[in-house]
Amino acid sequence: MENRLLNKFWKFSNPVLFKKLAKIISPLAGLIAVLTIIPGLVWGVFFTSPDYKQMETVKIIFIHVPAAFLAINIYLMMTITSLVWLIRRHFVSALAAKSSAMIGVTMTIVTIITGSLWGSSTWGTYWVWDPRLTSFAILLCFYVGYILLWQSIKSLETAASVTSLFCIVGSVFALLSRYIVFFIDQGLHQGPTLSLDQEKNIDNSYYFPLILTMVGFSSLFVYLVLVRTTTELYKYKLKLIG
Amino acid sequence: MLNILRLEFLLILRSGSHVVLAFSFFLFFMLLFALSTFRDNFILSGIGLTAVWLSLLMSTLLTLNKVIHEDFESGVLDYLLIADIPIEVTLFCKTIVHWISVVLPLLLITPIVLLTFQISSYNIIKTVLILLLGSPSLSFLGTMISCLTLSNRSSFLLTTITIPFYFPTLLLGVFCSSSTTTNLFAFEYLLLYANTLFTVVLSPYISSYAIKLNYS
Amino acid sequence: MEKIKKISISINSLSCAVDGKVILDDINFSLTSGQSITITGRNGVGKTLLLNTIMGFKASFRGKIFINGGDLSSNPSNRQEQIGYFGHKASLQIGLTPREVLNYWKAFYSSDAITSDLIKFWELPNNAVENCSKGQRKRIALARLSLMQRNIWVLDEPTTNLDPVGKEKFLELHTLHLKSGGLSIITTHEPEQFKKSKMINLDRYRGNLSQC
Repeated sequence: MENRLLNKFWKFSNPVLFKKLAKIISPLAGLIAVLTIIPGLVWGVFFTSPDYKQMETVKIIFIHVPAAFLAINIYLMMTITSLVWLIRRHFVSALAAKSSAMIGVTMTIVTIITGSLWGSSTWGTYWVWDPRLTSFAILLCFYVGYILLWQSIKSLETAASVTSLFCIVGSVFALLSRYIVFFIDQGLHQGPTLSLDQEKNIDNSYYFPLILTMVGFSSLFVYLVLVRTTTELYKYKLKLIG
Repeated sequence: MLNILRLEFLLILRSGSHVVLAFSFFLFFMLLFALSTFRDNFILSGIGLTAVWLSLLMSTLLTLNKVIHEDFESGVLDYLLIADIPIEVTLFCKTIVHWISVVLPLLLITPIVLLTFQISSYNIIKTVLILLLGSPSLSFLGTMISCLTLSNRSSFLLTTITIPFYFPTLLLGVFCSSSTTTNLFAFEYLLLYANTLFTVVLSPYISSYAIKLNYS
Repeated sequence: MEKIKKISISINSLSCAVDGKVILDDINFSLTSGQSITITGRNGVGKTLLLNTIMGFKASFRGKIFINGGDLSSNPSNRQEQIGYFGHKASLQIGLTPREVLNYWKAFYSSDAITSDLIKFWELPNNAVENCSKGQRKRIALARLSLMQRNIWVLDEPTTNLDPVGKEKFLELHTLHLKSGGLSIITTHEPEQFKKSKMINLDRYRGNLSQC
């Protein structure tokens, strides 16, 4: 049973099938993104009470947290798709990693910018070398390295393999740096905003719009990655013909 | 293995202008730090340990293209791949030779340089010891990334994308150098040793895999 | 030279692609001890690509390569034991002298050949490779080939840049190699000099564009 399910899953590594699937899913994901991000932001920004200490600036949370969530998870996803490319040689997988890298960089930069705006009003400074902030700077470096490596190698297949290895090894070293940074300095930043452990979570009035924007950002990512991967596939095909 | 090390040393001896370059670069770079804090002994002794780590890192970075890139371009690597000696062993030897020829001379001159930075002799001995135990990972990580970037000749790319991989070593190294613990088996030191061992063991395997990927 | 056992290589419907484009399509040939094959074709037709594929320097290919009946891709250590290679680049460490170069490779190929004999045979100079001419570099590389002591020779244009004396020496060596049970795969633009050799012209094997 499980095996058959897996086989069905791997079938979509076929570029033609993937394109078909992308054609169905991407508008859906786009629609979900629009339908959740806009209401989520409107709800979050206009219909919640400001924090007693941080006043209105706290509402940056509705962009900051989803972007940070994506920035980390996109790298994780790239690591997984890279592994799939190296082990099973599905080219769609490598292209998916390539196309998510740019989105990952954007999300990391968005996180850093919104974070520093937030920090300027609550901590009184745009940037401190706090462990959380530092680990995002480190993450950004690995994203940029990945993209630089993709661009510097002409042969597509070699580039895909080499960047995949870079991504996998990089994820190990990014994590290593993160834990070392945390070991050296505990930092200013508050603890995680969302966790499965209900007691530590933020107030309900923030919780629901936040979940809404998180879902929205994630489906925006799905939409973008599908569109970009399809584009990459067409570009590859063009290169073969031309 | 000893024989291979000997032959690799012979290669460095015959065409190793980069060793002298790295050595001079290290001294010049340290001088830059010293000049930028000219006449302020307090800052000077504050940045001394950081400066020595950074200079070491930079001089290592600039010599990385000598480890494997030249062999790839001249085609020597093709013959190394089909040799009786496994490529992992060859890479391990090459990296060791790189460390001994490029990094070790810098460590030897470090005490003298640090003296001019107004750092106490106790701290100097400690720093050199930490550098000795931490710096092999710089060479080994460098080999790994240079094998990844074989397809691109630019050493600029190699330098740029190696830097993120040096974060853990730099963080731990500087932290240990400035830590006040005297126990060399304190947790931060153990982390540094673990980092070195981890990279030394992992690097040859990842490097050989990366070479094979570049040959596809 | 030691007695070489029976050896064979066969290449079954080999297709090579570079970046998704099929360059060579459906190549078949097989050789046994004492045989050689010359591969000819226009520049850029993919002669070197074929050799690189056999050597394992190019991973994207379809088809099978058998050495002594064993599939090479499932048993790559066969390559290390059997195949000696001579590439179109000289691939020498230019800082060393020929003697040092040969000693270097002697260690890497755990060979028991005597370096000074090879130097005498190929009349190698005593200065750094840097100052050697192209032909001299070719001679050093050919000396390395005999140093490998492998049964299957894969040679990429071994005679270009060699003077007539050098060519003769090489052909003599090649005949000896075949006589002692070896076999060889050679790309060349002058197939006439390899007498009694099989021939294959790659111009007929141009691949079509593959579908994505």
